[in-house]
Amino acid sequence: MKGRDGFMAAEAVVAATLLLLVIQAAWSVAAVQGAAAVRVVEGARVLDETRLIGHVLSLEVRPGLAGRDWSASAGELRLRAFRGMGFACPGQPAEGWGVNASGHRNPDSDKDSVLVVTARGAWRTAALARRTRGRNLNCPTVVGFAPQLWRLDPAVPDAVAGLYFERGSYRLSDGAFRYRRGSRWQPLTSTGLATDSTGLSATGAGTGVGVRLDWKSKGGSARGRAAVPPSRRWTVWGRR
Amino acid sequence: MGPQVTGPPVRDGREGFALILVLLALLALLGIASAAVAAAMAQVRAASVAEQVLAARAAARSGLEEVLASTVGRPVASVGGPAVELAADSFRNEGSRTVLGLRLSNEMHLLGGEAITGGGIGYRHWRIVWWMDPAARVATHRAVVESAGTTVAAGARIGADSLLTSRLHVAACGGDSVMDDVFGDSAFAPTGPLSVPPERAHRPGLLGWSIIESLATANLASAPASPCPSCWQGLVVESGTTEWTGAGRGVLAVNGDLLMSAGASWTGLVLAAGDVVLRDGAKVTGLLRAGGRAVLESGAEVDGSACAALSGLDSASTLQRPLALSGPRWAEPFAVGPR
Repeated sequence: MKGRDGFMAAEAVVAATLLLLVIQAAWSVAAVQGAAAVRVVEGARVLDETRLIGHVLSLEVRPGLAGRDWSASAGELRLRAFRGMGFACPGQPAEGWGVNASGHRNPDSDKDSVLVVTARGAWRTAALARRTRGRNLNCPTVVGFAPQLWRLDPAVPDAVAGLYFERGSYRLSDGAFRYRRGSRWQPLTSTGLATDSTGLSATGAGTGVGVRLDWKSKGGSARGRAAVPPSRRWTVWGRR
Repeated sequence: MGPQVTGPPVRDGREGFALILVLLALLALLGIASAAVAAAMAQVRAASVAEQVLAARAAARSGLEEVLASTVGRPVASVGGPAVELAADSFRNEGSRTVLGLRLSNEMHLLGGEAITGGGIGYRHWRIVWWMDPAARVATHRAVVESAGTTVAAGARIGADSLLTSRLHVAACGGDSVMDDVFGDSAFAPTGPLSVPPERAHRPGLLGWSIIESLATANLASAPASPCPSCWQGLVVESGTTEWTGAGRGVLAVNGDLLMSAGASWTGLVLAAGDVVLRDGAKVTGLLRAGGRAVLESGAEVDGSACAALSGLDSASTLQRPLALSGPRWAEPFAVGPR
C-alpha cells in the first residue's frame, strides 16, 4: 500500500485546488450578486421616493392657480395646501355653518383657513375659528362626507361650499424633500438627494413648477452603475 | 494467489467539506437574491397601485368632463336634496365610474366624478359649477327696469302690473313657486337700483364675458332684424355701442351702450353694461337691466313681463348646462386609496 500515499497527496492537492476554485467562484458570484442587490434596493428606494415627490407635488400644485394658490421662488414652493372641502347642508343652524365635509384629514381650527364660494359665485377667504361634529344637522347622505359645524371668521353669508387649506411650503434641502408648516421643516424622504443639483423652480411662464432631482448613489459608487438613473427632471402644471 | 483483502474505502474527511462550503455559499446567494426579489416585487406592487390610482383619477376626471361637455337642459337635482346620479359606466373591464350631482343653491352645483378600479382603488374628483335655472335667474331681478339711474320722459311708460300674465307668443308663467314669490306681489317695482354689481349687469349669469360670447347663438349685428313672430333667438350678444332697429326675441346682452331706435322692439331679457336709451316708439317686453343709466324717451315703453324674460332664458339653450366658474373650480383632494 505504499504506492497509494503519493496518490493521496496528489489527490489532496487537486481537491484543495478545486475547493479553492469553488470558494472563489462562489465568493465572486456572491459579491456580484450582493452589488446587484444593493443597486436594485437602492433603485427601489429612488423610485419610491421619486414617486412620492411626484405624487405629493401633483396633488398640491395641480388644483391651484399660480400666483394665488402657490408660488415658487428661491427653491421653495409656498402654497395653500388644500386638505378637503365642505358643502352647505340645507337648513342652517342659528350659529355657525353646517356642512357636509370630506378630505384627506379633518379641518383643524388651529391651522386651517377656508376658501368659500357664495351662491353669487364670489370667493371669500375666512379663518376656521371652530369645528365641531354636526350631529343635529340635516345633511344629504353622500359616501365619504360627514356633517360638521364650522364657525368662520368672518362669517360668510350665502356660502354654498368651502375648500379648507393650510399654508405650507415644500423644498428640496439638506438631502431630502421637506415640508414646512409653521417653522419646522419636516423631511418626507430619506436624505439621499444631492443638494447641489436639486431644486424647485417656477417654469412655463409661472404656471408650472420645475422639479430637478439628483439622487446620491449609495456608498459613493458610480452613478452610471445604478439600477435606476439617479437624475429626474419634470414639470408639475398648475391650473391653466 | 492469496485471498484479496477488501474493506471500506479510505476517507480523508475532505469530500463533505467542499460540498458544505458550496451549500453555504448558495444559501448566502439565496438570501441576497431574496432581498433583491422582495425589493423588485415591492416595486411592482407599488407601481401597480400607482398605476391604478392614475387610472382611477383619469377615469373620474374624464367621466366628469364628459358630463360637463354633454349635459344640456335644466338641472334635475333639488336644492339640499340627495345626490343625483348623472352618469354611470365601466372602464378597463372591471372598473366602474359614476358622476353625481348635488344642488347647493338655485344655480350652484357640486358635480363629483368617482371611479373605482377592479383592484379596489378609488378616486373622487369634485367640481363646483354654475348651472342656470331660468326661473331663479329671472327672480334675481328686483325691478322691471334696474339701472344706475332711470329717466322716464313724459309719455313713456313702464308697466309692472301684469308680470305673470301671457303676451303675444308668451305663455303665462304663474304657478311656479319661485316666480310667484318674487313677481306675484302687486307692488313689484317698475324701476330700481341694480341688484347685481354694475360690472355684471350685462351678464346673464356668473360667467365671464368671453364665455358668454362663446355661448351666444348670434351677434346682434348678424341677427335677423325681424324673425318670425313666434321665433326665439336664444342668446344674442354684442360688444361696444350698439343700435338696434329690429324686432328680436330672446336674451340680448350688450357689453356697452344700447340704443333702441324708434319702432325697435325686444321681447325677453335686455341686459347692458352701459346706458340703455329707448327712443320714441321703442318697446321692451320683459325685463331690462342697465349697468349705466336707462333713458325712456317720450313714447317708449317697457312692458314688464317676467314670463317674457323667462321665455327668453328658456330659449337660450346654450346657457342651460353646467358651466365652470372663474376662480377655483376644482375641489380636491379627496379619498385617494383603497375603499
